[in-house]
Amino acid sequence: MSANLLSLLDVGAAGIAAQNAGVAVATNNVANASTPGYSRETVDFNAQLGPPLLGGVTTSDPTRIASELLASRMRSSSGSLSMSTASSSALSDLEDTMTAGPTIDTQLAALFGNIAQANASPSSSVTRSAVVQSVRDVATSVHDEANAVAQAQGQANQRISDNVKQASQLAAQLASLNKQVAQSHDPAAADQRDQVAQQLAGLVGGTARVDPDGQMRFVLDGGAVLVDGAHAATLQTAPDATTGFADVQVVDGGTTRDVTQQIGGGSVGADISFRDGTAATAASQLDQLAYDIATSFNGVSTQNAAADGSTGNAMFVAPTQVKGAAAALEIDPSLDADPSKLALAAAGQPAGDNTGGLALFALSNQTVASGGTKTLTNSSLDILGNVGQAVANANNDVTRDQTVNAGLSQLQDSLSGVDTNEELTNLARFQNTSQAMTKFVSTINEMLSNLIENL
Amino acid sequence: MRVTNMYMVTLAQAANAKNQSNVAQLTQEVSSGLRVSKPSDDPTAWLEAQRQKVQTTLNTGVGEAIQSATTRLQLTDGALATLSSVVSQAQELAVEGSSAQLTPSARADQAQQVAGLLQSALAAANTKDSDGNYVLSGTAISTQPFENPSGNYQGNGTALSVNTDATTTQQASLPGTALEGGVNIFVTLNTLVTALSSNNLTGIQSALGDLNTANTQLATTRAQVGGMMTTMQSAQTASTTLASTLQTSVASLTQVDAVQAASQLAQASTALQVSQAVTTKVLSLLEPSSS
Repeated sequence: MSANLLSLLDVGAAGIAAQNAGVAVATNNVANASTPGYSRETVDFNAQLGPPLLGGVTTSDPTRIASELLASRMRSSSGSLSMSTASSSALSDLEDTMTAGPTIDTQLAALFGNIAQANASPSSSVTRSAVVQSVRDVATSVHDEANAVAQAQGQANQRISDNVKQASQLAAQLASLNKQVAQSHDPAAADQRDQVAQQLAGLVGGTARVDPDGQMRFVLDGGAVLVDGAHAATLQTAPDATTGFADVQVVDGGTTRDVTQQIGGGSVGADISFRDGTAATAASQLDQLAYDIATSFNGVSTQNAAADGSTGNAMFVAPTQVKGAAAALEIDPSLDADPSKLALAAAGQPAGDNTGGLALFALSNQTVASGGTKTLTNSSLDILGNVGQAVANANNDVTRDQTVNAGLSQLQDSLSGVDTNEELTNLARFQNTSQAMTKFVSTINEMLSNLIENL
Repeated sequence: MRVTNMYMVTLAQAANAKNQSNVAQLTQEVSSGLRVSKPSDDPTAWLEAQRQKVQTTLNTGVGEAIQSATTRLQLTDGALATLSSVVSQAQELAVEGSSAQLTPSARADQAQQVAGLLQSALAAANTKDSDGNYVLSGTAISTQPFENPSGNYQGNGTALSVNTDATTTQQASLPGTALEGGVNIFVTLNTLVTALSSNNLTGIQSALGDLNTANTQLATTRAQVGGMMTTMQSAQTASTTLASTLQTSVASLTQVDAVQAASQLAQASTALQVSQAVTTKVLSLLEPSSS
């Protein structure tokens, strides 16, 4: 019987130890209540078989309360949110810089308005000078908008390079955390791995899943494997042969794979889509518009006569090709120096004639832009309208992704978050049980003492 | 559902952020008076407003052109009025001069008077605008239209047209050719001077006939100029109306409804105050002493 009493002391000690483990877990939970990405843990008490066997309680490693499904949805939602936020920010900046000064439509309208006035007094040097100033202003506004686009593309390109570098570091970190998780039960490492995977998805999109072996695999959109277990491929950028912009490559072993057009998420995906999509389209539309402006005005101007009777006078420097036309658009040097070179009269007519001027004004209503489908002003407005629409769409995407993300965060918090009230209640429970066990041990101790004294 | 401390704090923060952003947006709208200040605010409305602004600028240019044309037509009309008056006076002198009772010396006096009238007529017909350009020389505006004293026309027959709206042009000048069609008023006056000074009664009567024709011709020409002025006047009115319509339309597309925006701002401010109060309450609930 005494041997049994001694064994019961062990049961008591194990019980106290189990409650202590519970206190430790509850304390750790409360300590991490505000730690981002922390998943709460619970203690698993395992009851041992009671009499005739000894009975008692044991605890195993604390259980991390987290859902891989939820974590995976969080990662993909984080990729979408980063993408829409980055898109919205890049597009808004572009919109702001493109509309910072007088826009092309405004300057074209001013040019046509001044031509209408010059037509009423074609030989007046005042009205001619006003037209010439407007020609300069049109060229400036085209430059300004084209510069805004080029600058925004450059900035997006720089962000892509920086973020790809960061993503490559995160991939390496993810692989090392995989190794850590595989080697030992390490809930903190698992939490950190979830966090890193989420950050990585925020940069480059893609999907991460935890396989039955407990290892996380991170695959980019399009199938390139970035992290597999303890192995990570390298992400890098290299200048594109045609555009000079950064291409994104996955380097694994000796193989290099270009994934630029496959990255469909994260801030890198957003910047690629902005740089090669909206901004590139705006740039080529501006080139086309500049080309159309120069060729349509020159087409009319060269056919008519300047105040000195000369013909063949251009208003803009003739563009050699569409590409680069926006940056190259300039007022014709002769017209710039001498407003009398403005061809307002019909060929062979005196300076008081305005046939040429009327033809120039008529361009305001003619569909001479975008392959003969739009007027010059409408074409310039459509470029800004497209950017504005893209900004509005991106802002809507941000709102949608924020809602989805908030909902998922709420679900995740509901499952894995720490409720201090709950933990404090648990703490009281463990404390009470521990006190009871102490009483139990002291009772057995007394019984043993009595036995020993009575021997 | 488990509700954690973090969740309550996050929820309160999100509500604050959303309300704060609403207040900022509405404050911006109310203070600037603009609902649409950049394309993304409302791409469709912005595009439409911008198109109308372009139209407004063109309309302003057209309005100025109409104004210049009207000024030139007024100068033309003034010159024609002077010419009418000259021709009428010359007619009176010719009638008197054709009377058999008049002495040759009286006719010589008349010749002097008609010569003076001819100079007035030439001065009127060679009127210049404020830029120093001849009004009646067609598009050859730097060429004096009528030679002194012969009255031969040296300008051209091209009339100037201006845009009266974005797509329409109207004649806005009268070339001097209108004054030499049928009879040349100045040649007729010269003939009358010669006839009066040489006592040539037949010549005087013949000149009188031509003066009558010239008078009719001038009346027709003035009516023509009057018609152009009426056209310009209507175009000016249309341009002014269009400007005002466009202004109203741009305003309705881009400006805020002040009353509505102010009321929304008041609502948003209240919502923000409420969510701030809720945040304070949540944070106090989470204090360990009250758990």
